[in-house]
Amino acid sequence: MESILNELASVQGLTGAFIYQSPGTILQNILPPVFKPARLLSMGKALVKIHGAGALNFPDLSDVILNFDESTVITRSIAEKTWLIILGEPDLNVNMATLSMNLLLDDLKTSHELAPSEERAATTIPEVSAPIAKAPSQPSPKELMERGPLAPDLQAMQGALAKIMGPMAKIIFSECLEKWLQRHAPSREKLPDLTNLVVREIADPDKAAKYQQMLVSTP
Amino acid sequence: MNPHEDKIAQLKSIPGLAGHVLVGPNGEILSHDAPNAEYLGALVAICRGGCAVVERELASSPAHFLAFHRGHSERFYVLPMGKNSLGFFQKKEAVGAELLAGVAAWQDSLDA
Repeated sequence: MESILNELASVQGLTGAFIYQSPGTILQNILPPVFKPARLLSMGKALVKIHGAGALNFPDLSDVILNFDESTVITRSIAEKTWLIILGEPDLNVNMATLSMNLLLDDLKTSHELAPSEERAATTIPEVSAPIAKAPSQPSPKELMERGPLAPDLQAMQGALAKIMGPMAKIIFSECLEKWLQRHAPSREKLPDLTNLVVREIADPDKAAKYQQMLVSTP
Repeated sequence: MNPHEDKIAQLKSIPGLAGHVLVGPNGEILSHDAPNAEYLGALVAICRGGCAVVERELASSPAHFLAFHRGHSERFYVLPMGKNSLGFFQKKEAVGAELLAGVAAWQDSLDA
């Protein structure tokens, strides 16, 4: 089934896709590794709830499209208790994506791996996510991002990264921020180290250079 | 006509908009001119909660919009509006991007 999902990869602006089966199984996932299973489960549950509520109001519902600054998410029911969820950049070609989903749907529906999870050996991912360890006196990444003197700088850095990396930006920036906090007490003087951590996560040298340029030109 | 009625009248007059339901932070319907508004209001409230979960995992700011695409029927959109949420239908012949731009301009006029 993974090869079927990979056929979606040609859609312009697509980051990846996963198949969620209720009540809490990821059947397949072709998203980059930064999208951890616990994160996908949480998103899957929320999106399926929205899709389900929509289907109660609109029997002819096909797709639910959710648009953010840095990402577009499309959710479609593909079999009993099973949904295909695709993630893309904000400018994802939704028409192209949904057309590709239409073409894949027959293949997906005939895939035996879409059988309800009790009929096969499903890999259900534990929902428990470990709390992030941090020193008691240290502010959390979330607190730093939302309030305090560094919040505008950090938000600008994450915003710039979103323009470079789309839906992965928040996840990657959060991970870098955690690493940074493990090494330093948060201060403006140490922000270049955070920039370096982020730049190392951007695989494409041109994009890395563009990110640094964006930070320089940010007022 | 009070100022709020005036704003709602402006919303209703946006080209391409076929009916709306404005929902408060606790799921209460503040205004509507859509059929089955009670059900739509519940849907809008559920969307708000679900979007918040996805936002927490994926995004750094609230969703711009959520769209329900339906066969050949009118699309239904949900937009955050501060503490409230707005759901509305798109007329079949309307262009989604133009309708969203019209609603965004209306929202900006509320902030002004």
